Amino acid sequence: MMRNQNNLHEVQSHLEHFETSQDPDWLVKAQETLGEVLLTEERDPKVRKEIRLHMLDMWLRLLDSLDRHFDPAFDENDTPQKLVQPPALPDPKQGSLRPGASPSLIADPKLRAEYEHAIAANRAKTKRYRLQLLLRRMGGSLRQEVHGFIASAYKPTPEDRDEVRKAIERNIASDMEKATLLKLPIFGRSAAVPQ
Amino acid sequence: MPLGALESGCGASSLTILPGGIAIASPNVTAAAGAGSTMAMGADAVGMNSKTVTIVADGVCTIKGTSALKLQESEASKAQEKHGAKGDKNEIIGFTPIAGSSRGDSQEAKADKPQWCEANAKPAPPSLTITSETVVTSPKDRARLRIAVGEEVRLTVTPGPAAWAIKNGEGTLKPKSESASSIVFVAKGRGGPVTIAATKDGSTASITLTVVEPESWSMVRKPGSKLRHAHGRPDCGWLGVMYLHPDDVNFQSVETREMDSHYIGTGCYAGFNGDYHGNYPLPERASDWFPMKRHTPHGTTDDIPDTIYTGDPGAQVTGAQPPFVAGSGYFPITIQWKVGTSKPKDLPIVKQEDAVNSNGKCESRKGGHSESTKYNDPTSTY
Repeated sequence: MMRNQNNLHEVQSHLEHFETSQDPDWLVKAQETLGEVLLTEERDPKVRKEIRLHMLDMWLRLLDSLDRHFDPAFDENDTPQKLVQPPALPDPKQGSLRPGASPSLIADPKLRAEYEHAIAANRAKTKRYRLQLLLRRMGGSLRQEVHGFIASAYKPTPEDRDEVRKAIERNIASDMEKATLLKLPIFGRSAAVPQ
Repeated sequence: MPLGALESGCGASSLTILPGGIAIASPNVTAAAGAGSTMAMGADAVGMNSKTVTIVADGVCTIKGTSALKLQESEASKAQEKHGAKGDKNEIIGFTPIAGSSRGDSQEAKADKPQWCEANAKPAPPSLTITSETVVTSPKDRARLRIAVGEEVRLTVTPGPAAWAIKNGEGTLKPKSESASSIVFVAKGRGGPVTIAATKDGSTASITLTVVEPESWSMVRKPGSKLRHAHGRPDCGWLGVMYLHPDDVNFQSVETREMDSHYIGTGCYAGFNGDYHGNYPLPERASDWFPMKRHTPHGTTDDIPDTIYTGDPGAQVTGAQPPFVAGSGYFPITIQWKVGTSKPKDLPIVKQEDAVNSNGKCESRKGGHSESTKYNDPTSTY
């Protein structure tokens, strides 16, 4: 199915956009688009096998992107500000500016530069805050989907196990994530080999 | 005590009229109506004979043959087969499968019409029941059928597994496997009813959820925070926290941002006219997105403090002491919301208002919350 191939290319493009922008919306789009790839609709066994491997690579790359940008030291109580408070004006008779006021209203170049720097720092903190919060929310459901995909698309045969193991090695950088994936039922001794 | 009794001559049959009913005891009981309808009960057989025989049960109808259940071909079918025509044997008219329902009116297949009994040797379709539980634990009612955009609900069918499908509305079912006892429904970024059905062995049960969009927002002062004020000046500021409403659903999957707006002021605030509220970057002139963080009985909040301050136009505008030059003004604030990558949608405009009166009282209002100071209050900061 051409639609599956297109969706998989789109997933790759979304992941690349995420790497450059670090905007978690691209990860969400990648996850949504990958969810639309329907392996069951591939009739040709050869194509189906190719699509299955491409899907596995994409699911694992998505998981790897999440892992690489996940900051374990993130403190969600250290929140950014919605608007930055401008510095006090040198002459009290001029009054006080509102939070979010334009830097152009500050005549003193040093104060203006400090304010601009504070605005840029708060914006960066806001982006980091949002990314880390959303990565935490995505993590659980993404792992469930990856594990579910492996369980439904692969069987505990030596050939399938080898394909999954190699894909994990190829796509996952985190040792902890690798270890979790290699404990999936497909690799278990008790996993029943289908007839 | 019998009200009346009749006994036959041989003593083996009796008809007794009791306050609670009529009892007939006899080796054979026969009732006849009209010329051709009879109903007879003997020791080994019960028979009904008429042009049309109808069995209707308001609840479950069971026809059971312990060793066999025999169906006799209709004369019409026999005749059709004899002449080589294709004919259905023992045509069943008006059969309605019996489906389970877990939550009354919201379910499909409600038995609001008589359920005709099928004289069929196949086992009866299973009665399915769907239960729902929200993934988030707040609000406390996790069986609620009103859910927020982006909310997740675990649906379980009994007996499972069954095939799940969204029959009406938008959303995602996870996992996407063909058959499961339990799945998670994820609402999309738009409101409206969504019906999800579970089908097993010819029986279907369904559940309808109402997906709710944010309708409004309000502000409360951050608990424990102080007011901002400069002694001698008519200014006022406070730390506010935003809440999304309605409160009976959890908007934790929602993100909000503010679209920039121009100040509209008079009197001492006229000098602020046209100022942007946030000076947000082009091209959208919008703030960053802030994810909602937790649900409370007062709504869903992002827990991010907003510094709300009237500003001070300066003594050269207001004067240095009472009577001050009075003034008022506001920013018409538009908050947008979205879920994931859904298209942003506006909430109704809320004014962020400022007012100074001549005796030096300064008031700041936003999202239904108001704070004020007097010019001679001590200096303080958030």
